[in-house]
Amino acid sequence: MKKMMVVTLLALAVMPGCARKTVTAPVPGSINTLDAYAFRTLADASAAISSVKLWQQCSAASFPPTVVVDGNSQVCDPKAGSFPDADKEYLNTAIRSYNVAESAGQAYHAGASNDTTALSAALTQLGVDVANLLSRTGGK
Amino acid sequence: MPIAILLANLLPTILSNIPGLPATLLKIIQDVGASVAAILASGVTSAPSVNTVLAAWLGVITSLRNDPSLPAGTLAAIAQLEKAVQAALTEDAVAAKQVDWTLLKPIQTV
Repeated sequence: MKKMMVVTLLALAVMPGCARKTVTAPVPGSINTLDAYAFRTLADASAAISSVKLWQQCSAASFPPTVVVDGNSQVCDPKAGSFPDADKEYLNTAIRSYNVAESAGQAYHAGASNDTTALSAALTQLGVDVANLLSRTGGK
Repeated sequence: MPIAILLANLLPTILSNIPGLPATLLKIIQDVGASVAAILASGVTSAPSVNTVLAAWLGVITSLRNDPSLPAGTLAAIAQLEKAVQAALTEDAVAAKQVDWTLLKPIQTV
């Protein structure tokens, strides 16, 4: 319970509205600060989720030399140990949150949506779910 | 605060909850956690400070790996946690400098 509270509080701290305001130069390729923040959050989350997904996929296949994950062949770590079946749902929850936020971010960047509230909420939920995933898988 | 820094800040909670940790390692985890909290409170979350945080945690994790009293399964899980956080921090350094939405794709559930 204590761990879950810490995860939630930390995740709430990543909300764009709660961030400490600093003056920064625009990031090349972004249309504004929220766009850059969304991209950075999603890129971070994608890397963390993909790392855990690689572990799960290697474990599910009994650790062959390589597995194909999302179209890319990747090397398995034979020393990784089994991915706990009970944690699979946490992985899928994080993936689903990522996909929701990614879709919202792409739409915002392309100008197809101006719903900053929904995008911010999706990014916050993604932070909660990625933190929960890593707390679960790493805190044995 | 990017997710990578959130995860780095989450590490002390995760690590200190590992059953059977020696008191000396728990103290180190608490001390590093306090340092990370100070960095985050300062609002300085640029690449160098993030790398400093990561280096500190990698040192703690290396100490954990060298502790023969911890079960192999625990060490394996810690190693995977380290990989995930390191992947996020590495990606964060790149994403902070250049936005390219074509790089992001949906991820399939398992």
